Amino acid sequence: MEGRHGAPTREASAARTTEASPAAPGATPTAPEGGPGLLDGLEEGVVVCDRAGVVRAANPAARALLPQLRVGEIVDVARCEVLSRAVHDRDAPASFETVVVHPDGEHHLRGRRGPVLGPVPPPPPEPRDGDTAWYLRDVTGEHARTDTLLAAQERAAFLAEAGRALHGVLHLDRTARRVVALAVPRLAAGATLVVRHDDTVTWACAELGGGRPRLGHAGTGGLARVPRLAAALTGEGAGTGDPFLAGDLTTLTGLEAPAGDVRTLAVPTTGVVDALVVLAGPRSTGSDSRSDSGSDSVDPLVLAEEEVLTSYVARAGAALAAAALHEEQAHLGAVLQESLAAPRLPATAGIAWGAAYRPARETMRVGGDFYEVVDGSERSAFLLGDVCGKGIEAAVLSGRVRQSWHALRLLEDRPGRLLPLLNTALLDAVATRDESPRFATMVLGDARPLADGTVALRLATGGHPPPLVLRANGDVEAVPVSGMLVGGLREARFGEAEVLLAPGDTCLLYSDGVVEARGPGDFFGEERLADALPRCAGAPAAVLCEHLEQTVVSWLDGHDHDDIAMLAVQAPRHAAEAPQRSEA
Amino acid sequence: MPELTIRTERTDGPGGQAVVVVGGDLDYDSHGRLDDAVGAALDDRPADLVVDLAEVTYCDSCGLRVLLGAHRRATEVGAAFALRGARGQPARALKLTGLDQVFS
Repeated sequence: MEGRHGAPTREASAARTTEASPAAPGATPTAPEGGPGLLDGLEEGVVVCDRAGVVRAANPAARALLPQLRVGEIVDVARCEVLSRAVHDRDAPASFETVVVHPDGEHHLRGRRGPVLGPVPPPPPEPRDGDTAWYLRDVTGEHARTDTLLAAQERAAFLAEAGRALHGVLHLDRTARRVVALAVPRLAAGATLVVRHDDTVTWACAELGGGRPRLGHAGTGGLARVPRLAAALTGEGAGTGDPFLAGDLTTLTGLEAPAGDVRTLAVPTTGVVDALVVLAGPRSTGSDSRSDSGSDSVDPLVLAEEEVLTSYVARAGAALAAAALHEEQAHLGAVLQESLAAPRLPATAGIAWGAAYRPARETMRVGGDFYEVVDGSERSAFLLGDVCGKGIEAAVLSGRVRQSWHALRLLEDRPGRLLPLLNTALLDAVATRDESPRFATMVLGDARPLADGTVALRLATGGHPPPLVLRANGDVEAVPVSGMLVGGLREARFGEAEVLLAPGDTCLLYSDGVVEARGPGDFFGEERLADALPRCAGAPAAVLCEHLEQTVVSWLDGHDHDDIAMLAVQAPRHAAEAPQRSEA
Repeated sequence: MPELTIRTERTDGPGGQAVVVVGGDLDYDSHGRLDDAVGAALDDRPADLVVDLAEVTYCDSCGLRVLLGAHRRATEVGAAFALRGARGQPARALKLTGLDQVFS
């Protein structure tokens, strides 16, 4: 011990000398002439201090870390406080961490007390020509950290890619193809997806090097031939790796059976569809080097890969469910649209009809506006209205209104009496279902062509803009009739009016989408509508509606709009229906 | 299109009043928010519920539906319901549908 502390003084001076001048011969870790000492090659900074705290040696790494440090001088607070304390206080912890300020910023420094140099300085090897020196370091930890990080990044990237690829596809077949394409080769050498939606089974299959995934459909009846698959689809099947499942897949797809191990994964789809993915030759979930090394320990990599699989099927399930729902909705929309499409106008002797219908730009093209015209032997009945809302909800309500009207008008043909009936019918329908208030606004009426070429109208309104009458000479009058919402209030009152159309006169029913069309500045408004009408005087009803629609669309100037509906009832001019388009 | 704004002012105590001050466009896209605000205002069991429409720039049938619903819900919990301040298009819509007579 004594010697350990006694001897180094020499070395300290030697080290100090090294700093300034070529090393004295025999000085311990210092360089032999012409070459660096052994300590000099270390990446770790090494500082040797004597009992008094005088620095006896410091290799370049240490000097880089603590630029103030000088061999032969005492380590004091100014040079490195924590090191100084550690050196002087023998009870100080054997390791420390501190922050050192360098010109390029703060560096975190970790120090530990190491074994001191031996009592006799190790003899430096005699330098020989051709010597090489090797510095060895254990980097297992670093590599493991890097590998783990890279693997985690790869998994995150894969899942992000899966999310992107599956997001917003909203088409079952395309989604199915993408689901299997994503799985190969990342998850397996082959992947088959089976989806049951309503009465159709869709399968998609991707194989390593197999090009675009193949896809096919079968009826659910076909599931009888593949009982294992059918059971697995409902989650009742045998566990993963059921060899007979592969056979069932072949039966379903007509493709070769997947080779190698097979793993079946249920796809969570919130009940919209049933789906499963069969992975063939699934990627080994452990890294090869450590496979079979003790089945009792849970390898974090295996766990992470399982999480990737879970996330992958979750994303697939969400995308498939969304696509299936979207297709259901699109189908529903198409069916509704068919049943609710604006009706054909009849050819009625003595009456000319015209109409325009422009649903709001939103999805499904099923709007809240509607009109109906029914040709009758004496009187022809018509209806134009608007229900609140859009889409399916509006479609259902407008369907209810139309059907009620079709039925009730057979019992009561006077518009002013028909409206209260309709009001009660709609209120009752809502009341029996605990729905929130749902109402419609409408104009309804009938038209009776008379022998003298005039047409007698009876009109009633409920909460709707009053119809406008365009006389043949260009005069415009609002029909003085008003009434309350239909289906909103038990005690609602409705007004009725009669109008006689002379030949060339037109009565225009319109929805509020016309006057509430909002262009860049303002609403289109009743006044602009009334101003636009005279220019249509003399035009056939159909032309008039088309012209007004165009006027409103120009006003919108590309802005969104609510549904726009118009219905024109016209007493034709006596002479041939010569369109007598007045200029604008 | 002006965004819908809703502010509820309350006077506390028995016989308290809740005033829901609405501004902007009350339409298909925004009506649900007013419905929620009315529900929240009625949760405090005010004696009066007033909906102030002075700053409403547009009210479509969905907006009317919420007002009608508010009237109904207020009546159910024994609160007096009143509308005030409607002008421009909302005032025309209320008149056209006869709701101005219901709410006056």
